[in-house]
Amino acid sequence: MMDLDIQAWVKVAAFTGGGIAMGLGAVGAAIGEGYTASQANLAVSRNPKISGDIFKNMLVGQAVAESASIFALVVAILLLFLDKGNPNLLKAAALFGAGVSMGFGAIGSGVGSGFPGGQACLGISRQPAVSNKLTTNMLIGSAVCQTPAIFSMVVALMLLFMDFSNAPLHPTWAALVGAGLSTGLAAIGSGYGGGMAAGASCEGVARQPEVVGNITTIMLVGQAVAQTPSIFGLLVSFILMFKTFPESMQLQSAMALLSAGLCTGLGGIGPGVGNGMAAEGAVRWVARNVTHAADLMRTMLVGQAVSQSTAIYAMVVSLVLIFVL
Amino acid sequence: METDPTVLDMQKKYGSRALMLAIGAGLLFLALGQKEICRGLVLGGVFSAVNFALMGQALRYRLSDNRKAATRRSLFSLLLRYALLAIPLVLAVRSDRFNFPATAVGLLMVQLVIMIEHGSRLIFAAVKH
Repeated sequence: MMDLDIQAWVKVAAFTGGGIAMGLGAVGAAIGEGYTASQANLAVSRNPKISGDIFKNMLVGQAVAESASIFALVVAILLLFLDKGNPNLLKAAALFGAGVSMGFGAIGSGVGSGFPGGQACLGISRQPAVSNKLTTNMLIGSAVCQTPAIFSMVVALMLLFMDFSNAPLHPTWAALVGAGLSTGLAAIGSGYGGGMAAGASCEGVARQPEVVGNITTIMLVGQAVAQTPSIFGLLVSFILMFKTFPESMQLQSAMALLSAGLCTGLGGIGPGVGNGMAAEGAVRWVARNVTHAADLMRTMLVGQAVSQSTAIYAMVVSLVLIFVL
Repeated sequence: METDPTVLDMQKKYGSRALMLAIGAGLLFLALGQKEICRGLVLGGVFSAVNFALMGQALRYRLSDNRKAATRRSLFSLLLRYALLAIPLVLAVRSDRFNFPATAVGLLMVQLVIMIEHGSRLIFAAVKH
């Protein structure tokens, strides 16, 4: 009877996780693709003669923006159909954590990768002669935007396939759910922020195609820094998955680990978006004033470092929750 | 409203290249004795190309109707495409004949082809300079 209960719990966790993974995973990509399409409409109305080129660019941009939701689909299908092996309650927690990680983690990347697609369509309507440069710039920006979603998928796959059966149920169950929350939530801000920088980059290339090198460089640096909160999330997830926690039936031990994941996850959203705003500003103005690119880069990096500090505070509190309390 | 011929050309180009890449990589794994990986890559690649074709075909319906009808059709096309992409994944997870990770990589074949094409163009341009 007990065996049957555990099996049922594992299935409940896997199905709920699968629903969360695909349900939330579809949100971001759909918004991103919709944004690209809305800007493509604006671009066609501005320059209907090259509607074919705009359509092509929109389609390519949407295809790349959809990657995050395909990752979510892969994880959801694994959760629904994969043989769960030896069922135990820790497995249930790991499967639920996997769904949470992938579902939340796909939102930011999906929305963010729609921005370069939309701005590239607008840019093509203004500067049809540089459509190739714009498409390439859009693809680089969109691809980098997918990195936080890839981090989330890595954590989800580790939770799915690692064997935690030797760890004590209490408080490891909370560590596994916390691991999913940490990377999944932190990826939202980084994906969205990276998209803001990439969108501004496409706008900048259309404005000043001759400085595409400077614009792409500052976009990539800005996106790299914007991804730091999701790396913090990944780090906390790894600690929660790999550290062995002593058995404890006290609820506060489990809550400390769950809160550690929540803290870095939620704490990473704002800095990811904020860093993206800083990068967006720098990229936009480099296109207008390339002679001061170095000053703009410095201002962006200092601004991002200050914005980043709140993510560091969140990570410090998470580490205290894991190692001290 | 007909689909723009340049859009159709682009779909054919990326769809066929995705299939060629999937088959080429599949043959390589077949030569190495990894039949399951070969089958997974080709299966995923076929569905990736079909999904991309459907994406473009749905465009004309989105643009030719009033807003309500366009929203309905867009939602239906999105659901249809996700359901379609789920088929090879379910097959791969259910059957030992297909390798699951290879099938998942195959589903991203069109995206891979797009990135490879533009990435190589960027590298060649940098080398020229």
